[in-house]
Amino acid sequence: MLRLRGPMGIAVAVLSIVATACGSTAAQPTVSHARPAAPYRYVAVGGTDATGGATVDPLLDAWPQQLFRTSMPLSAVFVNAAVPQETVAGAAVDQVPTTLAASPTVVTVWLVTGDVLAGTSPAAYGAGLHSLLRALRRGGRTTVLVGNSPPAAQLPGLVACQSGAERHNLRCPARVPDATSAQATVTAYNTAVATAAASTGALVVDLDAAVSSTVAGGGPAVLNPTGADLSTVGSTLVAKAFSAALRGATGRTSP
Amino acid sequence: MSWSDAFRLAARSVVRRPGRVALTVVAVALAAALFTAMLTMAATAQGRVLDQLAKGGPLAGIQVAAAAPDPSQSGSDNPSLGASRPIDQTAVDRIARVRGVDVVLPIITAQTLMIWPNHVSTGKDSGPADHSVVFDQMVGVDLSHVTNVPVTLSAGRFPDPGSTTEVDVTPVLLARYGIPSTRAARAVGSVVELGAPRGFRSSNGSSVFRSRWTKATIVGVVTQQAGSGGILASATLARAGHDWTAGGDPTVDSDANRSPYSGLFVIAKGLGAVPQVRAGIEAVGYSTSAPENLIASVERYVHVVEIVLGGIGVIALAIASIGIATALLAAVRERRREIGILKAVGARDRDVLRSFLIEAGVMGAVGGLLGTLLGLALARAVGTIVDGYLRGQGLAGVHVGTPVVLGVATVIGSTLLALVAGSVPARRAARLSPREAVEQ
Repeated sequence: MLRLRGPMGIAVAVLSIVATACGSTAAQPTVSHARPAAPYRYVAVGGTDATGGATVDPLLDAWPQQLFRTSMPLSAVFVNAAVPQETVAGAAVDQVPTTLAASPTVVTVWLVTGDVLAGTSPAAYGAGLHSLLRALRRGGRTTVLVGNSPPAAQLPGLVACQSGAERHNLRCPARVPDATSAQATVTAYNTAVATAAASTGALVVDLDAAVSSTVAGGGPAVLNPTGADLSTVGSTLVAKAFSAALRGATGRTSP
Repeated sequence: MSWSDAFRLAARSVVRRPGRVALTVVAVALAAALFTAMLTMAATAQGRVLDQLAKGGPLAGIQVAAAAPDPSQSGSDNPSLGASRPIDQTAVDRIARVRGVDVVLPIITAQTLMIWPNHVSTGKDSGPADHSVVFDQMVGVDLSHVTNVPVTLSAGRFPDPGSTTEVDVTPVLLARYGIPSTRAARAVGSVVELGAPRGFRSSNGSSVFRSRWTKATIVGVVTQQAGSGGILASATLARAGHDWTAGGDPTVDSDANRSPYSGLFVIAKGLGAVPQVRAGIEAVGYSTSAPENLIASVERYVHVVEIVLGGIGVIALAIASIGIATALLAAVRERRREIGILKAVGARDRDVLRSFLIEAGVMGAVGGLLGTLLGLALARAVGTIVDGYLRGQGLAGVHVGTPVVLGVATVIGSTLLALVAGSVPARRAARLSPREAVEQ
């Protein structure tokens, strides 16, 4: 160790005091100058389930919110245009203008329950969905993901209406279809979804297969106990199915 | 006798009595250190107090509310607000033209839902644990002028001026997530989701709120008075949220803020111009508030404290100067024979006077310099301790500056006092006759 004595030592001591006195110890505010990322806009078109329905915390657990959280970049802007109990015809009025105004990069569409409960025929549903998807595609500038229907026994709302118990403010039809005819309707709806998607360039998210495999595998309940809405687990399942489809469509592997 | 001879004589005197000289220099140094440290700490305290009063903004800052002025409260620091009155770009331009205005910074607030998905409240945190979603206000300002608005950073950094993915949060907001101010810095780096709600009436007549969501990283923790809200963001991000909400259906969301700007922060050209600028802005039709009266009062009190502390330091320096005089008187007594011989070989009175004054001046200058450095180091050390304590409490810290003018003045003052103190023994030595000096 260097030991300084005499005048040199005094000089070093004085310089140390000067350095201590003049050194800055307080943290100064700094401002970074990161370049903002390119805009990435996502709009969710849907019904009750897209608003979070009866999940534990709708704002936190709604499946579009989960999709935004887990699969979109930090710079993404997300508008949840969903309206509870919406039909395809209603969405064309209530949600399409807002969606188009946002010039979205990605749009997700999941509209089944409202039309099933409203008694919309598969043909009318298919025609309405085709118009909706064509508008949302904006000539191919927007990636549109459209979900089909899970099995009738797992379709939110329909199950609650079939139970005949508490109807949870649902617009249940006067004559609720039984399980067999409901499944036939769902199958016809899924055919309409596939046709509309194929003709407009939208991508089908196969919720029928995703929910069926979960239920068959003995997984947790997709619907909440009343059957009126997706459970939090169901919301996560739907979000993951849309996320996988989005990854397939865009090649994006992480937010 | 030349100046160099006088310096040599003075140096020889110092070398002959090193102990006495060292003690005298130490006395001067301690007095100078006391003087410097006290005034530095007083200046730091004044800056901290005034900064607190100005909420981190400039002292000449004036807040303009989106409301008409109440004529009965004109001139008071925090007047009550009159009727609500939107601030648009025309109003901003008119206010910018008011005489005495230096800068006008618009403030934009946006109603905001905040989701903190990964927030896990620990058992040590106070407050409720499950508050993933809170409703608050986002305050947007031009962050390239952040030093001009009443915002104080306590952890992290400010968001980038144009960023739409960075925000700061306040300790009050963090408390709603159960995070105490002492742990506020832990929030930095977290990603949150920010939603601006918009009222909408669907085709079936039902009222719906749909939100525009963005993600943002918390990059800092601030206390801010620029606007009412727990989230500080760039004007760009706040503007996007504000405009989304303002574009909603007023029959669904009548409380939505539709004024383009929720307020302004105006900086006058100096504290003296504040009353004139406030009057001008009120003439345009908006209510203003500024802590001008409070700042003036506090400044008066702090100046009194500075005078008292400075007085104590001057007394200490005067006592140290008496030490110099005593040391030189002893030197004169011991060097009478040498003085007599010098005069016998032709040295003049002023040559002897000069030698003793040089000795006194050097002792004063060296003591003053060492004392100034020691005083600044002491003030730094105390400032570091206070800064650590304040930041540990989640408050804004203090910054001890380097008062160059005070340091130079202390060294010069110490030297002058030493010269004054040394003048009496030096004159006595100069007046000695050669015969009288040699005889004794």
